[in-house]
Amino acid sequence: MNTVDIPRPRLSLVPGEVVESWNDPEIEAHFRTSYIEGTPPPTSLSLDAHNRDTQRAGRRFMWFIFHEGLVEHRLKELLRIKIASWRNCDY
Amino acid sequence: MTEKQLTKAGEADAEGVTPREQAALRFGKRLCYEWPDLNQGNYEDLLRVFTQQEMIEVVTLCAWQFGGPNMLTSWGAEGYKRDGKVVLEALPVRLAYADAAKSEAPRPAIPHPPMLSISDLINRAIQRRSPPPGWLKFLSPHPFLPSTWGALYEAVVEGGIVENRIKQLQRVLLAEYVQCPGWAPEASTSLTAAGIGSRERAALRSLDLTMFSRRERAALRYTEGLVGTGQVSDAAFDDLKAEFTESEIVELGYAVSVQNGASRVFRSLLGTKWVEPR
Repeated sequence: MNTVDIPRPRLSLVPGEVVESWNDPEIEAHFRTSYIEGTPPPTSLSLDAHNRDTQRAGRRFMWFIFHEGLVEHRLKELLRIKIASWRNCDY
Repeated sequence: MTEKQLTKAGEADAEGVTPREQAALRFGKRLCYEWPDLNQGNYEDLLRVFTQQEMIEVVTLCAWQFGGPNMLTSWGAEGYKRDGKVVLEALPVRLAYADAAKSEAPRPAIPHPPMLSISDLINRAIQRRSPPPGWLKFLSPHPFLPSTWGALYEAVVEGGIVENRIKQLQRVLLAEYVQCPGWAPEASTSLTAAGIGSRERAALRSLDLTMFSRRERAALRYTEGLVGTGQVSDAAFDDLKAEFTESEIVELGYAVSVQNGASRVFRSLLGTKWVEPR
């Protein structure tokens, strides 16, 4: 029987009650958007929520370059998918 | 776009891809496979189909994608998916706002971040020589990237909760790996204040980590994985977890990722019309 090599999580997910206790509208907006858009997945947000300041700066950078920039979104999605493939990255 | 077209995208004979997409993919592929050979011609290739502001956006996105996803993979993010998808019910904890996501309530808009003054960012970079002021000047025609990239860099490399010496050691290791000393010049006050001089730089250049503390070595092995192959071994990550909290690990990961591709792009810009030679 073939076995599938499933990567094991290395960092824990920050529980929802912790993040919600911040009452932080910006972080809430990122989470709620992730359930709709699918990218980034909410699990990624729950990983970098271990460090709130880093998460805020990182998500601001990523959200605005992907969604608010000058270049068409389809092109950015193409780059995202292809560079992950070229970098041999599962993500 | 079909699966076949997506697979072929980036190849010379790709179909269903616009000239702008093809140019951006050419740049991204070169960054991934041949980054030491990137040169002014690659940027001029982009400028045939993009404005300067758009070119900066494409290049910065490629630079982030070079390292950011590998950071998430190093944390085992894929291990929380089933067949490539997040199944909320299968996760060990309830995620934030998962209940609200199931409701019909409109999602709140993501607010625009405060815009930092470009001149203030550049002045701080000149004082610290971190990041290279030339990199921020390259970004500066773009309407928001100097601010959002600069804010991320300052939050995780110059600020944050992990002792600054470790972040500066990461910066030097990265600069040495990509053979761009100008990314972390010896005269940088951030380095001298952290007690990092020619001995430390020589050790990092040869990846001889014996002179560093166990905590520093753990951070540097993690950095080496992300900067080198992009993969971090279980053993290296176990060592990291023995020395750092999860909050600190997130910061260390971002500190590498914000520089991993950017330093390679910066190296290729040195001596071009956009960045003065060191």
